[in-house]
Amino acid sequence: MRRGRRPLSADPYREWKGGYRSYDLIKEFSIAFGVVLAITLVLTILFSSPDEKPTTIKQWSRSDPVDFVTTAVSELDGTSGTATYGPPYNHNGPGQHMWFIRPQKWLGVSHPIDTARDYVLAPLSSINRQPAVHSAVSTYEHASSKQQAAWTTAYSNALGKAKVGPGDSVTIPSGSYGPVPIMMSSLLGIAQTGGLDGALLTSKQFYQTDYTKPLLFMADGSVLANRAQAEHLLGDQWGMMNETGSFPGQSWLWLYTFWYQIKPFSTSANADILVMTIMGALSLAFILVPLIPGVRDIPRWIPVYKLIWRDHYRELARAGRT
Amino acid sequence: MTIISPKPAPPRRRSWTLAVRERAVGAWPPEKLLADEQPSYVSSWIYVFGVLSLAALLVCIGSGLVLTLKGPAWWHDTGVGLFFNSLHLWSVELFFFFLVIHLWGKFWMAAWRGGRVRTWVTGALAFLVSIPTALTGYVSQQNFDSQWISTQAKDAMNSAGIGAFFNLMNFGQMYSYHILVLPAVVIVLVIGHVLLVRKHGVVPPFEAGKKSQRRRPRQSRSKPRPESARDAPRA
Amino acid sequence: MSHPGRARSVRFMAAIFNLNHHAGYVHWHFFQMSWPNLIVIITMLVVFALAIALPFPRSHQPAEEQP
Repeated sequence: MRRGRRPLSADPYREWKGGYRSYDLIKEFSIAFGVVLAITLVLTILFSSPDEKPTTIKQWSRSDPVDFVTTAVSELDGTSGTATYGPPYNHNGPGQHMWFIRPQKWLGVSHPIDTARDYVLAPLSSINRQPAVHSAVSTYEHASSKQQAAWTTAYSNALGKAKVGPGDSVTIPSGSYGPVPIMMSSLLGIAQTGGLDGALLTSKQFYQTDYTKPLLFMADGSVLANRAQAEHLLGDQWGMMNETGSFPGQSWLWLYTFWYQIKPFSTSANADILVMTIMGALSLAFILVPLIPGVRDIPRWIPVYKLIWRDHYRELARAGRT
Repeated sequence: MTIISPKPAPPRRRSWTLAVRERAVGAWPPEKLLADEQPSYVSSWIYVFGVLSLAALLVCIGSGLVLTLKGPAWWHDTGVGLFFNSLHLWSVELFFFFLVIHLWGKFWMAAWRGGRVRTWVTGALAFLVSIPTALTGYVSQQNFDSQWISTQAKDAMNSAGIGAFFNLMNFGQMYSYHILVLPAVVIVLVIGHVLLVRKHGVVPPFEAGKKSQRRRPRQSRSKPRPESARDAPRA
Repeated sequence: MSHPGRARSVRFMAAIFNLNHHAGYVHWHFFQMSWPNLIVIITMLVVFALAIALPFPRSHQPAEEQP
């Protein structure tokens, strides 16, 4: 033993040398299991569980064709949320950072998405066999980027005055949009028949499990956010801990979602990395509570323990009197 | 032909197996692992929340196993599937409910005293790992909840660089994490936590250790125990 | 694809209380919480307080008497 170090046996809390009472570990566990199973069954019978059907691109393009086309144009001209996201989807944005710490950038593009190609050009080329559509895609692809931007900007602006025509088609005032209207009406047609839901999932393989592309496409539109807002699930509605319907959600995320509601996080472009850092630090502190002076002394200062162990202290006091 | 040697067996050589066995049996003798006694100060309802959390975890694993056996789409289409999904959801809610109360109780008892830091750390880690375990479950539901949660939570993952290898919108990856990787980590942590509780016992009350060490009980109405067991703290 | 008998089966398993409607919310400055979550958290606090306050039934076989 090193000099000056207290022997372990001197720690009064290491071993209990006082009285013991008989106890049935297995019986206690069995009763606990029975009680919890019964409560779970009662809650299940009383409340069941939520299951709101997912949104499909087919539904979205039918229920709100203007929003669908607006989103598709933003994917084509590279102005959508995904198109400008940066890593891990593309190099078009810097990603979030905290001082010089840029993990998003450092870890690079692991799920590459070229929004114009993946969401518009490739589905049009692979699904629609009409010569007019192929010609429109070819015209668009061979135009200068300045020309492309002029067409898509004019078209995007005109979408503000768009009307939904027969068969859920989108009509806009005439203008110089180049091949964009043909491309968009074709893409809308594919989406409304359900073809785009499948097209965005396909890759080189037959079996599919990765929904990144269709989910990001829908997230760029307002279809998911509109449903979420109605259900109170938005980030600024403490939505992270909420569940659809009137079910309790992930209430254990209360502290995590709390930070997003207050400044500077509620207005910061780097809110996610700042909140992740704070929660990471707090989680580490939580694990290391026994080693943090001050925090580990709180239970001694606020003596809740006197209530918890009141039987024990009462016995000690009685023993002291006799 | 068997030759029976009259010579005594040579002394046993130290082996890794023997070393592990001796350490394990030393740390967890049967009377400690499955104790039939506990310290007299263990007298409060707050002590039941650890075992309630454990029971909720078992209900959660059981209902999850049924959902796993039938595949991820089953519960959307059948009443029995919805029933097991509901059991799974409510057992998760109960697991966190009991776990947090257990945690509050252990904090106010300063249960890390007397060489029990590792017991606290494994418990805290089990709680923290349970959070992504639940999250991956929420994004594996294949309903609107999954769509919304995965597209929202991706930004936090991406900002920290986690999104590069943990993609909430990849159902296949999330399902694997939810039904295998993360539950395995939680279970290992919980087993470690319970073993540490068995080894070190429940923390004695504040300032009680010294006093009670001075006063040995004059008479005991509990049954006598062998001396080796008496030294072992109980939970 | 609809499953024969599915609607009846799912209805049979339906809850006694239907929670598939929008929740109520408590909104105070930046604080916003759904009633279901709030009920869970308040219940946790109440159960914690009761766990400490309620007397624990003592074993019929009391511990050793302290001298």
